[in-house]
Amino acid sequence: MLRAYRSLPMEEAAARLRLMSQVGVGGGEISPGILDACRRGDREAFRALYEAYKDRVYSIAFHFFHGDVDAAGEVTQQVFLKLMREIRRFRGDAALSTWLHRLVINACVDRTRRRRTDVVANDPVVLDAMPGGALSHEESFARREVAASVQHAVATLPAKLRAAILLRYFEDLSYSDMARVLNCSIGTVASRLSRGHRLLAKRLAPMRSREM
Amino acid sequence: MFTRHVEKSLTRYCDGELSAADRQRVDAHLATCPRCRTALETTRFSASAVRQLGAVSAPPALWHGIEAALDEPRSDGIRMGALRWAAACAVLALVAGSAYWWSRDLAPRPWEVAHATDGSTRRMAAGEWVETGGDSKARIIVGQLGTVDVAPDTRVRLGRVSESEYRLSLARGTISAEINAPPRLFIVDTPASTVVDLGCAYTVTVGDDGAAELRMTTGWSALEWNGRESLVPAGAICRTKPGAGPGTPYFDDAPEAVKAAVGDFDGGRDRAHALDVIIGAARLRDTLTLWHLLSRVDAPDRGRVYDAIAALAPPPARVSRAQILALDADALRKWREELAWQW
Amino acid sequence: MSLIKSFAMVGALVAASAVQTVAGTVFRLEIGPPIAAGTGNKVLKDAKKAVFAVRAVVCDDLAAVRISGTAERIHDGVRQSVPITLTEVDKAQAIYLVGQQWPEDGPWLLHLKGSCSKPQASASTLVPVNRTTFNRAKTEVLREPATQAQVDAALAALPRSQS
Repeated sequence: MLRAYRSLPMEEAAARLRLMSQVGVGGGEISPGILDACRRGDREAFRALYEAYKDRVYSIAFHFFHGDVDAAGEVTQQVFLKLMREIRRFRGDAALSTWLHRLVINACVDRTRRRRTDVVANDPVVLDAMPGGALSHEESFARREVAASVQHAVATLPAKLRAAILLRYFEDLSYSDMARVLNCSIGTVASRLSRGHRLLAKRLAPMRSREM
Repeated sequence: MFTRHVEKSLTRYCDGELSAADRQRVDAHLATCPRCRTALETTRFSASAVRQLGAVSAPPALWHGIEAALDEPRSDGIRMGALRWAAACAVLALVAGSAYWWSRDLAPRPWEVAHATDGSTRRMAAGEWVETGGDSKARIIVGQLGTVDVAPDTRVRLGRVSESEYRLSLARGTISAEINAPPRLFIVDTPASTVVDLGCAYTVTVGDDGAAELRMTTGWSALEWNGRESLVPAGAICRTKPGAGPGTPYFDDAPEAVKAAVGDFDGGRDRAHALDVIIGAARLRDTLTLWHLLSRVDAPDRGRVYDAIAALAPPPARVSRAQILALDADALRKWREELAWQW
Repeated sequence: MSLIKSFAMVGALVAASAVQTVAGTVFRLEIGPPIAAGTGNKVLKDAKKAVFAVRAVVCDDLAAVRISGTAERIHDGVRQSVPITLTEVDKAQAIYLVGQQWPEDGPWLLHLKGSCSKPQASASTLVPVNRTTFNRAKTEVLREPATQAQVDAALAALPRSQS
């Protein structure tokens, strides 16, 4: 049976599709109508906006903080509260996604600074966060191990490098989009990615040697 | 003479963010620099590892915290409308713990996937997976470029789409591509290497161990990994292994001894004997294999490989033995273009 | 390397030289896979749909070489002939591509004819094709125009089409 990755039950998929159509996503950026409604304080519109982006924001924070669900939840709430409170200042001259990415990355980096801890949780939650499907138990276990190793490696990077690595290889942003999000030059983006790769390579070395 | 390494450019190279001219420069350097090839492999490995992190569903309860915060009196006079999502919330709250839907809502949905059984199609976004069971097939329609048939028991991830790239990642199973696009526009990543579409029709199979096999039907393709490239013309096969990259291509109609010896050589099993067998049994057409071996054997053996090719098809006048032994990129290309008339 | 292999290699070198000596002086049309036409971007765009590449060799004025061709077969007892168009890749080097222009319902014989003005020479190459692949093993590179008997023999040797 052909199935998309992680497909929902039919009813939920239908509800999600209705939400998406109302929000106006699928073919491009958010629909202006929803943004206008959010600016007017329409809770319904904001909820639609939230539903459209919450998983993306949560996932970035989740991996930024090594599977810490509390940290990810806190950042997600913070991002959407800020978004809703400042939506009237969003003129739409940049993509909403750029602003959202900026909000979540800033929130993650700020939280790291406030807590003065980049300590990796000893027992982070590794949800079914690897692309899955009909895997055997052995495969599932192996994939969760790999996910845990990668999560750990990413979470031990300095915050700015962690942000760059996640934006590029998890969020699939282009260098120019990343430069807009991080408010830096493309050269800086490339530099942070390079440094991130060097550090990741060291941390992932045991995983590589197992694979070879 | 100092060699200028390209490590600083490798991240951009890996991410396709270099100009064509810079990319060519890096390609040329990688062909002769093991240090930079190692660095590139490292970069690709870590990028690939992070890409394997999956999306995570935000817990439903998060909204309640946000709503509560929004409901607190504020001096900025924001008026909130009544919540009318109760029904939708109830439906959404039914999400099973391990099932969720990741949709890149802002990205266009360039991929169209057709179910082979009932012909139904759906549009899918980058980041989503197509997975077929033991008795099902699918067809991925790649914009205006062509189609990719997904065989049973296959998992393939729909990757990024941009003006310069359509990308798939084949995790396991078999896909058959018929693409009509400018070169390097359509790319298939496998655990072991990347298939850069230069040709027209081919089949890629990835095993459970991540090893892949590319069979060209028409046209030709390039397999790339860590600065190593294998050019695979129609009628030829190339195998790849994780951590080792693209193997040495050979023609499907090559002598069995050659095929077996290529496997031994690429697998590091008694390479000296394998090389002897290939040199001894190669036909004119097998100069495809021999040409690729020029850059894969150690310097002492390179002369033997050169002699074997020259015995079957002398190099063009403007290509010298010394140039080939020095792995001069231009000389290698010229000889390859001449040899290709025999492939 | 063993003594036997050494002798074999020397023998091959001598044989190759002999062939080269003969072939090197004779105008002919060589064929190869599309990649033989080169890997430049312009070439790649056209080569994607090509079945094979063809080039003329041993002619003092390659740019003036003329190459034409027909796709031929005997189908249900009737001889069919379809003129084919060659796509120019490098006129100065007389390199062309041949894309599929014949029905896909079975094997065909491509009869390529080339002429060189300096020195005056003509040659044919007979290429069995099936859909979008050519049969190199059965391809005949002739050093003069093919006779009717040669074409008939090549047609007769085509595998029967499978319906």
